[in-house]
Amino acid sequence: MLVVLTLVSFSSFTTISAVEDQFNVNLSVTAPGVDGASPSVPTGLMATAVSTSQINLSWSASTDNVAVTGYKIYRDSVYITTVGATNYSDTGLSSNTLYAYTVSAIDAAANESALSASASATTFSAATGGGSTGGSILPLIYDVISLPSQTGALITWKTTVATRGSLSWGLTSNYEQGITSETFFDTVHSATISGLLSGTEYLFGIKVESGYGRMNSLGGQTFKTLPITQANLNANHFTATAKKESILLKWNNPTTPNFSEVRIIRSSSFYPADPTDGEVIYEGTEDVFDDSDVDIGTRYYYTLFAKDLEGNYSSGVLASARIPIPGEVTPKGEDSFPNLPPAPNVDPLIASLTFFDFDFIQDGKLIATTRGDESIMIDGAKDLTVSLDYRKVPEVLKTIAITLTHPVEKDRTFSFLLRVNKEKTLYTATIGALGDSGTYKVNISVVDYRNRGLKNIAGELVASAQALLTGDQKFFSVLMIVLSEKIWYILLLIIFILVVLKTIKELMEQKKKRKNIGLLVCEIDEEKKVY
Amino acid sequence: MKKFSIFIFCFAFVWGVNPLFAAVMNSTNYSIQSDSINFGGGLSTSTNYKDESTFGEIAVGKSASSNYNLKAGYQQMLQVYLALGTVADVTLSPSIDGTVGGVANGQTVVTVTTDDPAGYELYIKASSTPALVSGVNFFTDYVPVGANPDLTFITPVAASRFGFSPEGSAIVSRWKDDGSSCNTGALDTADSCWDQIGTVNKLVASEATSNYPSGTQTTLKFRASSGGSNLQAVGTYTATTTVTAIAL
Repeated sequence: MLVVLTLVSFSSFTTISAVEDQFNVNLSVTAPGVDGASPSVPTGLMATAVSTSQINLSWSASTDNVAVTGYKIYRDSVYITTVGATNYSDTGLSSNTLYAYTVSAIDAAANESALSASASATTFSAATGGGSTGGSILPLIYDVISLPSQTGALITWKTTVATRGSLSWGLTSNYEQGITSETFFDTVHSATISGLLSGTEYLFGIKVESGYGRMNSLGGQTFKTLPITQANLNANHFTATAKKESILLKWNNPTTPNFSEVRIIRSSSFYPADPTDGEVIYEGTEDVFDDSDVDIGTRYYYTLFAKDLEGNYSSGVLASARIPIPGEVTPKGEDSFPNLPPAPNVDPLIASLTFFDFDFIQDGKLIATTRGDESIMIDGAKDLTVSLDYRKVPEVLKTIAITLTHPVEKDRTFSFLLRVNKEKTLYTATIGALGDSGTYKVNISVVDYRNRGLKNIAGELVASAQALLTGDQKFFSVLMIVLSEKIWYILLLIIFILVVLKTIKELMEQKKKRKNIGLLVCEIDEEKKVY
Repeated sequence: MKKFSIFIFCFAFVWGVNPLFAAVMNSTNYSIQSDSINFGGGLSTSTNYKDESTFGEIAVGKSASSNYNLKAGYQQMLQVYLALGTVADVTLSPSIDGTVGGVANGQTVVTVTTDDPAGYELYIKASSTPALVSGVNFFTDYVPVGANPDLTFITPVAASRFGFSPEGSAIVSRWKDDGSSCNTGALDTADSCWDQIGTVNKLVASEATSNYPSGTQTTLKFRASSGGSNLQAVGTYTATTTVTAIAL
């Protein structure tokens, strides 16, 4: 409120003028954990008509004291939707009509910024659609890029004007395997293809149509999916058991012919992430090691790497143990990654990971997963490779580890690391056959060191009984293995038993013969009437 | 005749009587709800309104004009042009977590324009003390360590503070510094020299010459802070503040 005062002095006939204004200084004090600050106002809003029924919007990102979670879009002052990106395609509009848009930013606490400056556009006139009049020009396709993965590909392309496109693909130039179509008109396009064979070359073609109905196409494009490679096989069932004055490490060496030796790295801070990330405490081909150089009360983290004949190391398997201080009660079933805060204090990319982002591969084939059912059916008698696309996680210092819990013995867990491959396309690990059938609880832990956060992802591995032996079948199978290993002892035992039985039989027969002889003598005497 | 008219006006003014009670002039954004006896002419302008006014006119009423420029006075007297740009409300940000504490900052700009060859003075005051209040809860007004403003804003760990710091070419020496102390030197170091607002007009800026027509901007910075051990009640806090420009 502005107030103007004019004071008059009678004596000198001069004036003293004063003006004043009143304003408020406001502040919100919030409850703990409550975010009361609104994001900044979106700027640079642009509205571009791309067809008779679509207008594309884009704007610059807002900032927030915590994080911007979305943008609310208003058409002619009426709210229409909320989006997470800084662009939006508004469809279903009337032709040759002027629309005005504004955008506001919101955060997780539902704080909303003020509305952006308005931007307007008029949809194309229906009269010019499909023809070559007005602004109708032939759309050109350029910057076609394919990013193949093991079982799919991401194809991106651009067009000189906003278009709506479709992409077809196949093993031949007929593009017989599939087609995906866009809904919106835009100048930047992308299509994701999945369910492809690994290590296979595919052909694809693109067709586009502008808002004026002008069409163009580009064919004969190719990409080759990445081959599924198996990482070095890890050792299995690596355990660390605290004894009175040492920690006993046990494991099963890989059974592959190119296995060379194992290397065990120890650290008192966290699991070593690679074969040089800590103190080497053992190298060799044994399957047990007693770590006696330990302090009581200190937790030790071990990572065991299996090395092949070419010198390549496996991703690593994990175990940790701590000798309790005398009198201390040790809790059972300690977390594999203690002392780390849970999500969401992790990078957004890590926070968005799900079980389905991980590929489970056996015999070089991807095991199909069903979204919504975090269970993977595997063959428990075969090696298992787990992979994560390199692009799905940020390039920050992190540890990706998987812990399996035995179907029956719940205290029995087995953890292993996922490490980046040489091509920097995957985080991957291969473990040997699980050995026992049943449902293994899976916990994938992604430790974000930069943000000091931990993302846990739960799932299940259902080891099928196809190649495994359960119940009685397993009992007899085990018996057969035992028999095969002790066959010579068993044969000797059988021979011994046979000899003993034969000897007993002979003795019995001799005794019987003597008795028969005695009776005969007696009979002779009767005939002779002589005793 | 003219002297007689002046006498009549002054008599009416002193006794608090409005000579006329009708809203005599209107525009979309501005109205003069009462007028005085018209004795001659000065020129009052705004972006939305023009008023050929005279000596003795007292423009009283609500103004929604974005900027009001007054040129008033008896035609035979020294005419003074004095304008004060509308001062925007301030929202201190970010909001402060009442339990863990924090610091919130905000600022607004005051533009004073005058053709008075003697210049002007700009004052600030709060409507209450403490100034920043929310019902019965408040932030303690900033109290400098000594007689002069504090170069840096200090908040005890178990307390709250609310203060202000003016910046601009026209600030008076109290708000200037030499890099280590305030009310000394010629520096206008950013975010330095903090004091409470208070309920008594406090001189912020002054110029001894006309700055017409460009005017002079003074930035008023406000800061609220709650110490880490201070438990500040949740709420929306407001400090109602008044700035006054006086032509000298």
